[in-house]
Amino acid sequence: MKTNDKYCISSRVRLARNVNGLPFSDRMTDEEMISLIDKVKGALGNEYTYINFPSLPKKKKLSYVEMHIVSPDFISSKKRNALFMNEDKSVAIMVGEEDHIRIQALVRGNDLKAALSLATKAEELIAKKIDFAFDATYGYITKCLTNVGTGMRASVMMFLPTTLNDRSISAYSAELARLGMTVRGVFGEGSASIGDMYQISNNVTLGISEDEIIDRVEKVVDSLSKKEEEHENALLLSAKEALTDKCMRALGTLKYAHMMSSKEAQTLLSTVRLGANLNIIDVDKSYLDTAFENSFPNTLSLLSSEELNDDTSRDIFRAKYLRELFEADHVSK
Amino acid sequence: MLCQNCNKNVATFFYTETINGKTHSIALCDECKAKHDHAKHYNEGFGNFFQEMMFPSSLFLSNAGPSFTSTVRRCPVCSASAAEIKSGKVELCRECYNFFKEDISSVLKAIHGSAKHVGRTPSYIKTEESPAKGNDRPEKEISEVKSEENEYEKLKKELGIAISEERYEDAAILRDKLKELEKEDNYEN
Repeated sequence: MKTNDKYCISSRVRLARNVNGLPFSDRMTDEEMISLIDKVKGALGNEYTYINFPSLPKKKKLSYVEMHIVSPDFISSKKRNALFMNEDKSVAIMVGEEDHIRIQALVRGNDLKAALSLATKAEELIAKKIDFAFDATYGYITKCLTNVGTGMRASVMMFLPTTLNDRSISAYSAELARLGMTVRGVFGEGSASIGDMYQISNNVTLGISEDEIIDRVEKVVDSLSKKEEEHENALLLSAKEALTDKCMRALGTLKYAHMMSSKEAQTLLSTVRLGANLNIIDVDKSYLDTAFENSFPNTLSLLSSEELNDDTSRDIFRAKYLRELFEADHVSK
Repeated sequence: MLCQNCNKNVATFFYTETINGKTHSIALCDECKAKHDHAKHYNEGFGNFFQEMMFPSSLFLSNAGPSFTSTVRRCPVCSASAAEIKSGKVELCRECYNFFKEDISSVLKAIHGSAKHVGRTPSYIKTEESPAKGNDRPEKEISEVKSEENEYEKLKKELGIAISEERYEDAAILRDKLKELEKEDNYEN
């Protein structure tokens, strides 16, 4: 395992593309959008499943936002749109977002190159049938000037419990801005960190190549990983017993609670993850990732056969789900 | 919105005038704007010019000519102005990229520190470094994308020179050529 994997949850690359000969999504007619969706469907072929997004139940749509597969704007859009996903769900393609086509590839751990390669493969599949809006000077034309050029956003979701908090994030963000980078909460700009998770990504998309973007993000990720490692080790040295007690209590609560809010679950999962990073707790981290993803209300609801329409029923179900997950033998390595 | 003079073309110039202390707004297309500029140059008087345009005569009864306080060039599709785009207050439409090329470059420089793409090109475009990879479709040379842009920029520069040298007949021809290019380029660039 690379050192970084202790602190890097997932890597994501998003490519924004528009189609030549069409106005941007917000000015397209319904017929134009239907025709565009059909074209993308034809280009992607059997490798991708077509999801008629507006027809999905609300909880399913919200769950896609919680899992970062679609943007909040995509579900609130009054216009027709569509989602395409490959079999292992590592690549999701939104059609009819702010830009006509947004390709997003997600891989576990710290591997932006793998994410870019997946996104590029999908992009090339589409480019075989569709001409993108491309200008020799500006590069890929996008609805928002902040995405022009490569149209690429490369981001790594990092676990930084001892390095960043809601107060220090703005100062660090200002520092990163000078490098054309940014750090944000789990749900993008202005959002608070959840479970000590932060997204590191590029802000600048023009005048820089795709490989350079990845290189820059990787450098910041490496530097943050080193800082986090130092801070965590220092914490272990200065307060080993208190930290061990805190981590064990967190795991105990996850194993025995009867009701649990998403916020409490995410805080406890963060403490257990810190304990796992420092070898205080022996736990398979992929279960921590799964538990974190399923802690969000709509994603959690999809796991239940019953309608969980109020906080109490959701909190009871969440606690039951986590009890079963953490009581099982397979959690321990 | 349509030109308030000919009611045929899309208005791209928005005037605010002050006549005898009263402010009026007029929207004109490229063609009518050119006519106006021509009239202005030969001192035909704004009163006559606007009367020809069949605006309410009451607007122009005064002998004192109107004084122009501002001329705002607006995108023919979404009516955004360069100032609005620069302020980030309005969303761009596809045509804005063609219509406000220079303004967009300066905004891009402010955001990204550069206005020149150095990343990848679409796989179906052939570049010096890589062959085109689109299998089922005609290949495109990168120079095809470049040449259209160069032609546009060249004509724009020539138009600027023609106006500064007061060669208005040449300017009118260049303006027509640019308009043709913008039409061809509409949603294609």
